[in-house]
Amino acid sequence: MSAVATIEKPVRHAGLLGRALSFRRAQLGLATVVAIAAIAMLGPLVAPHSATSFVGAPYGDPTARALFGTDGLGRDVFSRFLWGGRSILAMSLAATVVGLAAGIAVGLTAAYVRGWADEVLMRLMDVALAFPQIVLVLLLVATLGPQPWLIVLTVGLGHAPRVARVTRAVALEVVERDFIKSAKALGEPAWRILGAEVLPNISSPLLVEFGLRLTYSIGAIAAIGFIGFGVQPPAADWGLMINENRIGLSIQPWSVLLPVLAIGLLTVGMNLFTDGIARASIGIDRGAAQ
Amino acid sequence: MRSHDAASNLQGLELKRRNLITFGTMAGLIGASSSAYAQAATPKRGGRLLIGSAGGGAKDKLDAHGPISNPDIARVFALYEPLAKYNANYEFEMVLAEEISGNDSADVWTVRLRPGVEFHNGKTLTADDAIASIQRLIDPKRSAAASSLADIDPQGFKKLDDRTFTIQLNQPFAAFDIQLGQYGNGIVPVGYDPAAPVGTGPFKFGAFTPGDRTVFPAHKNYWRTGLPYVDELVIIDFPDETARINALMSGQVHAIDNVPFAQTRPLGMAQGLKTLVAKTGAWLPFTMRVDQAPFDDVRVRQAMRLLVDRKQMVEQALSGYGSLANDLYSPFDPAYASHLPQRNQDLDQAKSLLRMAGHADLQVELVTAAISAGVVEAAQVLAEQARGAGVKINLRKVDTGVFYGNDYLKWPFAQDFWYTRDYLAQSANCALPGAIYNETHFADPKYASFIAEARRTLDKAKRTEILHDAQKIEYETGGYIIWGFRDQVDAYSTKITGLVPSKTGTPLGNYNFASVHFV
Amino acid sequence: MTSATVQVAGLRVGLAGSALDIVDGIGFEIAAGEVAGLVGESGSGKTTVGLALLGHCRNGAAITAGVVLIDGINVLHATAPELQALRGPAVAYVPQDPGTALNPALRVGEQIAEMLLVHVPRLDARERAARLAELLQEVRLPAGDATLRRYPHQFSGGQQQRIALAMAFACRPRLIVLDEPTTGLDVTTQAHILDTVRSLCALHGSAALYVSHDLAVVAGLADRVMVMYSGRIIEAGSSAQVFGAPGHPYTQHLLRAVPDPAGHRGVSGIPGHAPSPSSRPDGCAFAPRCDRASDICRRTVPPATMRAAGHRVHCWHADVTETLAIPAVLRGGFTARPALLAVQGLDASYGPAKVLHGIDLVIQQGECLALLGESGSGKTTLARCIAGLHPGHSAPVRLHGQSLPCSVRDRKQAARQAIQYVFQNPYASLNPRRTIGEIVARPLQVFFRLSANEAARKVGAALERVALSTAMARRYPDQLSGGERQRVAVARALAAEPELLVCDEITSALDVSVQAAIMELLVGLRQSMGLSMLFVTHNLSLVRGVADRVAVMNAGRIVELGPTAEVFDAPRADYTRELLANTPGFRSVPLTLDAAV
Repeated sequence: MSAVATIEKPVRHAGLLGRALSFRRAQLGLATVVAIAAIAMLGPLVAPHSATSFVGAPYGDPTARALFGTDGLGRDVFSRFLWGGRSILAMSLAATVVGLAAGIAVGLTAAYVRGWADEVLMRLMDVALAFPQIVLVLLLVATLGPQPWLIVLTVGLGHAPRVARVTRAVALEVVERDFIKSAKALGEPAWRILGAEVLPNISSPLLVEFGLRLTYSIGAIAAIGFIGFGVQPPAADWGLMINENRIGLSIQPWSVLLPVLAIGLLTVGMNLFTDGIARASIGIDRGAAQ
Repeated sequence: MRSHDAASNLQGLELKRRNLITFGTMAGLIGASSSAYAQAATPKRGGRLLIGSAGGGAKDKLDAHGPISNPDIARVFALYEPLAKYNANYEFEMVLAEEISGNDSADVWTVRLRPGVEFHNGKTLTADDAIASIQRLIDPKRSAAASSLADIDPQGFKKLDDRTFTIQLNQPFAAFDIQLGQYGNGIVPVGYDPAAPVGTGPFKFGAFTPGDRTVFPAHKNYWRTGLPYVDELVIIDFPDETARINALMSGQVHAIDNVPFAQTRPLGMAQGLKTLVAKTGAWLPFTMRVDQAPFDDVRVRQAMRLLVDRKQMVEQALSGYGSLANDLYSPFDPAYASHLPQRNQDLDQAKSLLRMAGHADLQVELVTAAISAGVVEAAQVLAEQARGAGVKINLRKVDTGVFYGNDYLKWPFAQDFWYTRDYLAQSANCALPGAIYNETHFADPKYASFIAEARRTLDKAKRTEILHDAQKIEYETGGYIIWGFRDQVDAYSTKITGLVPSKTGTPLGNYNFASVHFV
Repeated sequence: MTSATVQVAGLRVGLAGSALDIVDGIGFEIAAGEVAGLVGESGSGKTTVGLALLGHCRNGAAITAGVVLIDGINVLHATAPELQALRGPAVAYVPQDPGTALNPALRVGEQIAEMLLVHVPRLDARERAARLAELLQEVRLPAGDATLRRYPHQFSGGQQQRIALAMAFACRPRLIVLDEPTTGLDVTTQAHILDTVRSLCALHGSAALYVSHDLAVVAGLADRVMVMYSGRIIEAGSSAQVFGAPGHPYTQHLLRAVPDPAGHRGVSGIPGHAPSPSSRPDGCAFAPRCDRASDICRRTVPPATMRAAGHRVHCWHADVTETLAIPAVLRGGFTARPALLAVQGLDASYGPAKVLHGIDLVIQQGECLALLGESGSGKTTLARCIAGLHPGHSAPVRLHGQSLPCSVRDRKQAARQAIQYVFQNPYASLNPRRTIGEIVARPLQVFFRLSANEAARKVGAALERVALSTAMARRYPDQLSGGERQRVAVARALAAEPELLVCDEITSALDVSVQAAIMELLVGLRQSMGLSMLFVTHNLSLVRGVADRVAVMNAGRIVELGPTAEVFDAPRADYTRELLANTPGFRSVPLTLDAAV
C-alpha cells in the first residue's frame, strides 16, 4: 500500500481554491473582492461621520472634515461611501444564495426525476428565462413597494432558471453514475441522494455559478438602487449614491466616483476570481468520474 | 438677485466696450457695434423656442382647467389666459378683463372684457365665452378648480353686452377678483374641447405627445401686439434632473425650469448659461393627512412640526436658496400672520407631545418624488432631523407619475409644491373641506367659518384680523409642515433673453414665453 | 538484422519540462510479415511506444532520444509534412476505438478512396475500385456498393474495426501499429479480427506491432513478444519463449494472473502497484514487489541477459530457472442446494426494445452462479432486475419464495439488505466526494441503524475483510487504485451482510494482475461467509475458476445452464461451443507452468 503515494494528489475543495489562486488573475480578483468587501463590512466602524448627518454645504469640496467633500445634501461623501456597501453586498449575497438554492433545487429535481416532470420544470424555467429580470424586479417593486426582501427575492429568483439549467446539465451526468444506483439500492431517500451524493459532485460548477450570479446580483442590486427602487434615501447605498449625486458630477465628482469604482472593482474582481475557479475546476470533476 | 447682478455687470462691460468703440477709428467696428445695439433695442423675431420642463408623464394634459405638473402649467400659460393675474412683481393686473369690480356687498361682480381679443381659431372673445369658461370651471362634474370658485351661483350670470357680464355669488366674497384671476382659470371659447384646445394665449396648439413634448406655433393675432417674438414654442417633459440640465448644457433646449439648488452656482458660472433666481412665496410642504393615524392626533402633527430645523432645511435641501417659513403660506399677502412667533426645532417638546399621543416610537412612511427641486432633498433632511427625536421616517421615493397618479391626495404623509398665492385663493385650493388639492384633508369647521367670514368682509382691516385668526388655527393644528419658501431657480441659454424672475414662484418668469426672443 | 522492416533503438519519451521519462531504452526490431506483441498493464508505457513509432506523442510529452527506422527512414527526424506523407504508405495506426479513426460524415468508400488518392496517386479510378473491392474482401466485409456507400455509424463495432483495418492496410504500409484493437469487442468478433490481422500481415508482408494488455490474445497472435513494466521492456523473446519459459519474475506473476479457460489452474494476483514515472525506484522497477529481490536489484537497474537466442530478460536473477508455484483451482464442486432466489418467465425491456425474454433462473443457497454473455446479451439487465435497479420487468423476483417488487425503492429493507450489488466500474460506483469510511459506513447506518460513530468503528473490520488497511477509511476514492476501489465496493456490499452478492463485470475495468487478486478475494470470502453469488461476466476464462454453475446468455435468453465443468467440457448449445472456440488461451503454447504442476 506504500504505492498509494504514487497516485496524484487529489484536488478537493480547499485544493480547488488553492489551485484557482495559482492564477495571477484569480489572486488579483480575490484581493480586490476582499478589499471592497472589507470596506463594505468594516467601513461603518471607521466612518468619521454618520451616513446621514450634515457636515457642510451641499457639494462642498474636499476638506479635512470631509475627505472627499460633501454630497448634494451636505453629507460626508466618504462616510456615506463607507456605509453604503453593506446593503449592496448583503443584498447581493442574499439574492445569490436565494437564486442558487432555488435553482439547485429545481435543477437537481429535474435531473433526478427526468420524464415529464423534468420537461415541465425546464420549460417553466425557459419561460422565466425569457422574461427580462430587471423588468420583473421593477414590476414587483413598483407594485409591492421597495422592500429589501422583495428585491432580494426577485433578483434571486431571477437567477434560478439559469442556475437550474446549469445544475441540471451537470447533475444529469452524475445521477447516471453507479454510486447513485448504489445509494438507491441501499434505499436512501431521494432528498439524501440529491443532497449528499449528487450535490457534492457538482459543487465546482456551482461554485463558479455562485461567483457569476453574485456578479450579476451586484450589478442588478446596484442598478435597482440607482433607479431608486432599492434602499430608500436617506440611507447610504452605492447605487443610490450614484443616482443622487450624478447631477453634481461636474461639481463634486467624488460622490459618484467612489461608489462607481467600488462597484466596478467588486464586479471585475469577482469575475476574475470566478474565472480562476472555473479554470481550476476544469478536469476536477471529470477526473473524479474518469 | 444673482442674475440681476450678473446682468448689471454685463451692462457695465457693454458700456465700456461702447466707449471704446466710440473712440475707435475703424468704420467696420462701428458698423458692427451699431447693428448689435439695434438688435438689443428691437427684439429679434422668429425662431423656435425649446423649453425643458420638470416632470410630466403619461398623464400630461392640455386642459385649461386643473393643470398639475410643471409642463401642464407651462402649457396652460402658453395656451390660455385668465381674466386677471399676478404679474412677476406680484402685482395684480388685468389680462383678458379690462375691469373686474364688485358691488358694495361684494356679491355681484361685473367683468368687462378687453376688446379685440381673438381666440386661436379666429373667434373674437365675448362674454359668452367667459361665462361658458366659468361655468365649466364650476361644473362639479368635471372641473378641477370648482371649489375655489364655489361661491358662484351657476344660474346667476348676466350678460350685459358682448363684452360685459355679471357674476352672482351665493355669498359675498371680497377678494373674488383675485380668486378669479388665477392662471388655472383660463378663458376658453364656447364649445371648448381639450382634445383640440383653443385659448387666447400667445401660443396655439400644434402637436401633443403626452410624456414627451408639445409644439405650439405662435398665435399671430395675439392681442398684445407684437408678441410673441418666436415662431414656435416647444415644451419638452424632463422628469429627470440630469437629463434636463444636460439638455440645456448641450443646447437641446433654450431654457429649463427648476434647476436643482445645488447646481445653481456652478450652472450660473457655465459658459453660455444664465440662472434665473427669484425670491418667491412658493412652498414645498410636507403634507400630513389630518384624518389618518397617526396624524389624526393633533399632538403628532405639532410634534412633527417641531422636528424641523428650518434653517438647516433651507441650507441643506435648498443649498440656501430660500427663506424660513412658519407653517403658513402666502407670505406676500397683506394679511399674512407675520406676528405669530417663528417656530423652531424643539426635539424635547416634540418627544413629549409624541409620548402623550402614545407614539413615543413613531415610525412613518413619507412618500416623496422629484416633483420640484428640493422636495426629495427636504424629505431626506427631515428624516435625518427626525432621528434626533427618535422618530423614524422611512422614505419611499416614487416616480412623479406615480406620485400624481391615483394615490395623489391620498398619501397619508407626502409632499407637494405650491406657487405664490394670496391667502384666500390658496386656502380655497388646499385648506377647505372639498378644496380640490386638499392634501391634508384639513376640514376644521371653525377655520372654514373664519374663511367664509373673511370672504364676506369688505373692510380690509377687519378681514385681516379674521384671517389672522384663521391662520392661527392652521398654525396650531394644520396638516402642513411649511418650513421655507424656496427661491425659484431656472436657467436659460444666453441665446435667448426676455425672462425676468417672478415672485409668484411660477418658473421661468411665470412661463412668460411671449416676451422671450433670441439675441 | 538489416533485413528488419522496423528498427527501434534507445527510444525515450520524456515528460516535457522535467527530467522524468515515460519510457526509456526501448529497442526492438520487427521483420516484414512479423507480428510483434507489446504487452503490459495500464501505465506501463506500451501505448506511448506505439505512438512513438508514428513520430507522435501525447500533449505534455516529447520524444527526447532514440531512433525509429522504418525501411531505413528515421521517423523521428521527419518534418511534419514528411510525417504526413509517411502515414499510410509507410506506417498506419489502428486505434482501440475505431470511431476515432473514421470520419462520421464521410461514406466508408469515400474515406478509403481518399486515402488511396492521397497516398497512392498512381492508381487510376478503376484500379482504385479494384483495390477497394480487394480490401473489403481482405477484411471480410461484404463486397459491393452497399458496404461502401454506408456511413461509419451504420456498422457494428466489429465492422467498424474491420473498416479501420481496411483503411490501415489500404496503402500496404510497411508497419502497422494496432493499439488494443479488440478491446471492447466480444470474443467471437475479436477472434475474427485477430485472424484478419494475422492474414493481412502475412499477405502484404507488413510488420505489425500489436499493443495489448491481454496476454492470451498476444500469445495466440504474435510471433515475438515484448513485456513492458514501468516504461521499460523487461523481457522480450519469441512467443514460445516468453509464455513458455518466462524469465522475469514479473512475467511469471503476470501469467499466473491470467485465468485459464481450461480450468486447470487458478489465478493469483501481484501485490502492490507499478510505480509511476515520478516514483520509480533506483534499481529494478519491479524490485519492491518481487520476492526474489536482493540488494543489487534495489540499487542498480538490471542489464539485459540473454537467456536463449533472442530471449532477453532484464533481471539480476535471470539465471534462476525455478518458477513460481501454480495457483490451485479455487472452485468448489457443484452440489444441489435449496433455492435462495428464483425468477420465472421474466421479460424486461429498455423503452420499446425487449431485452430479456422469458428468463428462468434459480440461484441456490451458497452457490456461485456465473452469468456469462457477450455485450448486449442482457446479462447486466438481468442482474439489475434481480437487484431491483431495472425499472420494469414482467415477473417477480422471488427471494426465499417471497416475491419482491420491481423497484428496490418498494422493496422491504430485509430484501434490500439481502441482495447487494457490486458495479462494473469502481471509478463510478464510489462517490468521489465521500471518504472510504463514509462510503462503507453507510449500509451499516441504513441497515443496522447504527449512529455515524458506531458505524465508523465497524468500518475498520469491513475494510480488513477485503484486505484493505483501516487507515484507508480516511482516504477519498481518487486516492485509491482501481483494485482498491473495487475492494471498497465489495466491502460496502458485504457490510450489509447480504445473502446474495451480485457482481456485475467487477473486474473488467481492471488489469489482469488486479483482476486476479480480486478473484482470489471473492473466492475466499465466499468460502468464509457462505455467500451466494451471481457473477456476471463476459470473460469465459474467469468463470471456470470461480463458478459452480454457469448460465450462458445470448440475445436476452439463457441458452445453456449447468454445472461449470459440464458446460465447458461438453457444451450443448451451439452458441456456447462458438464462445469456447473463440476464447483465446495458451492452448497453442505449451506452458512450462503447466509442466511444473
